[in-house]
Amino acid sequence: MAKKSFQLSFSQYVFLIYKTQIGVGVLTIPHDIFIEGGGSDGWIAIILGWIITNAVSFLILNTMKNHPNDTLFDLIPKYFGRWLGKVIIFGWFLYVLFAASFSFLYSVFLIKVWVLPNTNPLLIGLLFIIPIYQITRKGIPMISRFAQFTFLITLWMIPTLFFSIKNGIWLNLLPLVRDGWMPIFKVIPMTSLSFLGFELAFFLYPYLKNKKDAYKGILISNTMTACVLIFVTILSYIRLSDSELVYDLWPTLDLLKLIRFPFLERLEIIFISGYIIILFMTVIPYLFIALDGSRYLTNRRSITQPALIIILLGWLGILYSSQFEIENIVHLKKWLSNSGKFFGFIFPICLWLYGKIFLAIKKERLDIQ
Amino acid sequence: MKMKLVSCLISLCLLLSGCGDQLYLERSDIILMLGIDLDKNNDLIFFASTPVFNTEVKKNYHVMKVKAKSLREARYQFNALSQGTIVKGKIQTILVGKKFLQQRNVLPYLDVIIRDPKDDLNSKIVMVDGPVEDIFNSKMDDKGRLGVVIRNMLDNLFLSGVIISPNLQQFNASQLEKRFTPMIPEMKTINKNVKITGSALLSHNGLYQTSLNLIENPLALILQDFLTNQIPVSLPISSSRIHEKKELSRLSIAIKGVRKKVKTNVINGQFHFDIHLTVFADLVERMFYLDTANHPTEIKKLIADQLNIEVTRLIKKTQKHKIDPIALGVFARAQQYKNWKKVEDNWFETFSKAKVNITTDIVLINTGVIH
Repeated sequence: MAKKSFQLSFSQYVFLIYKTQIGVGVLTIPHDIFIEGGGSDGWIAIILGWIITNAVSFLILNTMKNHPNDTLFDLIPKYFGRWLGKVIIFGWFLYVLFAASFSFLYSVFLIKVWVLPNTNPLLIGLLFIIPIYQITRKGIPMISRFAQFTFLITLWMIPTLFFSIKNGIWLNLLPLVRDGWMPIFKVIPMTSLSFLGFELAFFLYPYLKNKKDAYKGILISNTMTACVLIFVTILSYIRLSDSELVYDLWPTLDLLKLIRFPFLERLEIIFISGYIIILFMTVIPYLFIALDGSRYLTNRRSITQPALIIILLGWLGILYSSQFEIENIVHLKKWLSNSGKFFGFIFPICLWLYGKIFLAIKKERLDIQ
Repeated sequence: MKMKLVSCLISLCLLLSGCGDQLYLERSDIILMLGIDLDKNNDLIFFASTPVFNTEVKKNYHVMKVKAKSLREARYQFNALSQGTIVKGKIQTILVGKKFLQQRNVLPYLDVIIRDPKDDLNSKIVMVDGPVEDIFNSKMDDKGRLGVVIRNMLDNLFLSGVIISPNLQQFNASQLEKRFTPMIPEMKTINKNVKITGSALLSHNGLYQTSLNLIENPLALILQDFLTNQIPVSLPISSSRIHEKKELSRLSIAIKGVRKKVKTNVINGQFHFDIHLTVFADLVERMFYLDTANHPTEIKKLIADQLNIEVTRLIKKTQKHKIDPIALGVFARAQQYKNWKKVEDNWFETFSKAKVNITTDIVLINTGVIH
């Protein structure tokens, strides 16, 4: 198709997926795993989650391989027909819009709790939507460059956590697999959800310049994400006690609070302010896909600009009308995990199976003819 | 172009929101030190010391004392005493009275600080032997601002490896921990002068149990394998092989490194800990004569034996009070998880009956320029 004139380089593809995966999850995952019952063996579950994610990512790429010029939204009508296709695209549209909205609201919430408790969230939101609007408007070329920029400018953030490794109790991690494998298996769905963002491959694949690198690229992004998650989790487990992990909502930020330089007392404020860029990088790709979806739903190219403005204003409306509470956020997070489970894991597997059967039947028909 | 200009102006206007809640340094009372204590009638009292930046005033810090039921309530009271806003995000030290710690757990009272992300978790917790008021009224005219002086004293002794000084987060963690109990510095006023006297050991439910003096304290640090850069230890040698007057049979070492190996066994429900310490140290002082030219290993054996005696005595003391500041519970859980699980909830009871066997090796790195 002619419209895909822009081509993603390998590094843009990798960073785009990697930076979408790194989002709010990194800040909370040690706590989440711990209270879900993974205990201090949770990091093993991340490795298992990484394996599952890679398997699903490969299925996605395998599905897309047969249609090198189509995004998921091009592919669905071909597979399912016009009407059923529209329904599925609508489902995807809702999911990515929800993911983008959640990330946005969470960013505002995070800044409000940690950095600007006295500022009206509406103002914070207003500041946030300006760069989001500017970048999303320009589409994939801009977003991929922003991904590269984000990667470079936030390179210092995760290594900063190394400062807190001092005085950690490494024995907290022992004995390995202390309560058997069951609790670990139980948290695998949760840890795999921290990898969400790989489903972008559905939409990025047609833009990729060298399609042979697709597998390698997604493996690299998943591995980088896994490394960050495991690093953060192990650091929290050796540095924070069990009881703290139970009631600290943001263990990663608590690690930062422990770091103190003679010239700087509250490192976490600088960290969170820098982290906004990373959070934007989760909001923007999802938002862009939602806009793309709206185009396919209405069959009009001109819809994206108004839709973008409506969505952004809608977010401000939410900020204006509702009071933020941690319960709401936790509630929304549960919804997002459930929908992520479906669209990120179950859907690709089903689509892959369906695609195999579909193509086989089609080929058979062609052979008969 | 016009669009760009307008959006530029709008985004600049957004920066104005930062001007809404400005704070003047002269008009704010920054609490550097906080005190919690019980008075004679067992009523809760709070103290705060704030620096004064006004150059017309003679004293450069001032102290507030209020009666309140909780720390948050105390803050309102402080506000009523203050000419500006109370800023509590810079608390350096939190002093808690001994009387308070004998009756109550301090952790619930500190909840307000731990909860607020604006607060600094690096405040140090200290127990005061005697009324907290004495520290706030101590003589400071030749030293400086109270809140700064106390914090400097703590940091200095911490860096010289004598005491361990947990910050709020570490204290909170060790108080909630099932495997070990907290240990915080202890202070006292002697003739209106502040002195750090050692460490206070608290039980797992936050009550004061016993104290370690400045001589015992480094031994606890050896067992915890906690080194800032060195641990100074001064030992009386009680071995019968030294034929010297008692007041002269002493030596001092500066410990540069500790290698700790712990083996945990469970025999008939009783925990057995085999601790092997390898201590790397410099000999800095020996007050008695020893024929080191002909018996070069003698001195090592003397130190190792004496260290062993002292350390064992320390552990006996903690076992007697059913506390575990040495954190042997960490090893119990890591090495004997199944047995640990059974006694998890009353670990300190179990620990008090455990058998602890210590062997010490010493490696002398440097003995100075004389034998």
